[in-house]
Amino acid sequence: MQINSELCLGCAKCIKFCPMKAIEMENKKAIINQTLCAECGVCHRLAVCETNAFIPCVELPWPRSLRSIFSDPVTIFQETGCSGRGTEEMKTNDVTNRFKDTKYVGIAVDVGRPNVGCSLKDVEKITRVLALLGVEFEKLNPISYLMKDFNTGDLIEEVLDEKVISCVIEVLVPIANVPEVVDELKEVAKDIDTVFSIGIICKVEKDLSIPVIPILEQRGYFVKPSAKTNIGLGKRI
Amino acid sequence: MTHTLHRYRKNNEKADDYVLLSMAAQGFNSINAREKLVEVFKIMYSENPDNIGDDNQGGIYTGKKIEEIIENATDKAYMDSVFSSKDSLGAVLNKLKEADLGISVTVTGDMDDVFEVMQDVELKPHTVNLSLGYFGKKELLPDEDILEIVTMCGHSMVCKDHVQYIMKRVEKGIMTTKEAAQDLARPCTCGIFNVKRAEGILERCYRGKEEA
Repeated sequence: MQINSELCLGCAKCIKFCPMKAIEMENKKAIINQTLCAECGVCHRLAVCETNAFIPCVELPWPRSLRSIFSDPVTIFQETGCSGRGTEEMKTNDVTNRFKDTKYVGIAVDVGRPNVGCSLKDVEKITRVLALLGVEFEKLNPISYLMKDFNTGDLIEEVLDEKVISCVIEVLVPIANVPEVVDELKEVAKDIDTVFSIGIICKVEKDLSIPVIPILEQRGYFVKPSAKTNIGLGKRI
Repeated sequence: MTHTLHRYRKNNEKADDYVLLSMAAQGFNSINAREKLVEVFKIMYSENPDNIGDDNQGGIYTGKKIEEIIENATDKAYMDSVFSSKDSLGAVLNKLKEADLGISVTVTGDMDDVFEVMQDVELKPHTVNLSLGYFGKKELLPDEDILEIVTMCGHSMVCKDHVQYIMKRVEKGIMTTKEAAQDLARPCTCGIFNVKRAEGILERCYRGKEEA
């Protein structure tokens, strides 16, 4: 994002709308701190500027284009056809059967949200830990496309300085390994300059039990009362 | 994408907040899915949601009109809505079940309540995504009242500074809580920011300050 300094009135009304605090005042004009800007486009979309001084970049160069893919909800990641930073995960599991049974569980590590943001360097710290645990990375996830080596969790070096609002790391693990993976995520949380939240994806048994819940509770983890439920209306054609 | 999952609730208290999201599965039932997705959208709209939209286009509080969202929907539409009562959730789920469109739908909300409503309309939960909450530098997060509001836009488009600014306007009597909640919904492109819940949170904060 850029600001046309000739159009900017210096009113500073736009500053409060930026989730990354990337709008700053310099010589009585608003400017975009390009290091902090995650290219989410919210300032432009909201039309907060009465002179329309915000100028979105038509085509961002690589690797800066990643900022928009991970931060702007209306940007489509061409390789997956999905907007945003993750995949369809369990949202269409009644059709895709990606999570086939309760022997394997999905873990989604949602890094940077809300209102904190993250660098891909921090994301790499997490993918490295997960790789050491032998998890299966979701191949369709945008982060997996940036991974140099699934065995080490290393990302391509040229992307590491990019800052994004958030991204989701998606992995599949045997249900018995879930406590160990969450333990290790808790450890790496001490070594990053951002926040993440953890989602655990599990199929529901016919008797409506969710086998991963007692496993997590036994390890001392509190499962939040609010959850996302696929209600089973999807069908394959 | 887990953008409806981690909606913060102070002390994990119950909230009348049920988010619906529907989409076709790419490569499975996405070809010519547009009509079905539009039908899902119309069913959601018929039960008076507190917000509604399409991820790819925007929601009613971003300035999109219902007719416009329907007209411009594609096979890749993500139709979203949010409801503030179990009754309205039950009504919309029942209609979706009866319509039998074959399109996947998720509901985010208190799991016990969602399962209960599903049982009432004879639907069975297929898969769940459970939240373990936040980890890492939690000191970087806004305070709990603001966190409740900003996490209602799962893409993190609602900025804490904007919320603070709006709260001050409410305190000064420049805006009503309803106007404030609607203004805060504007950055949420998906239409899942629950305006009614935001109004309640703002009222709670305002009352708290008055009492202090």
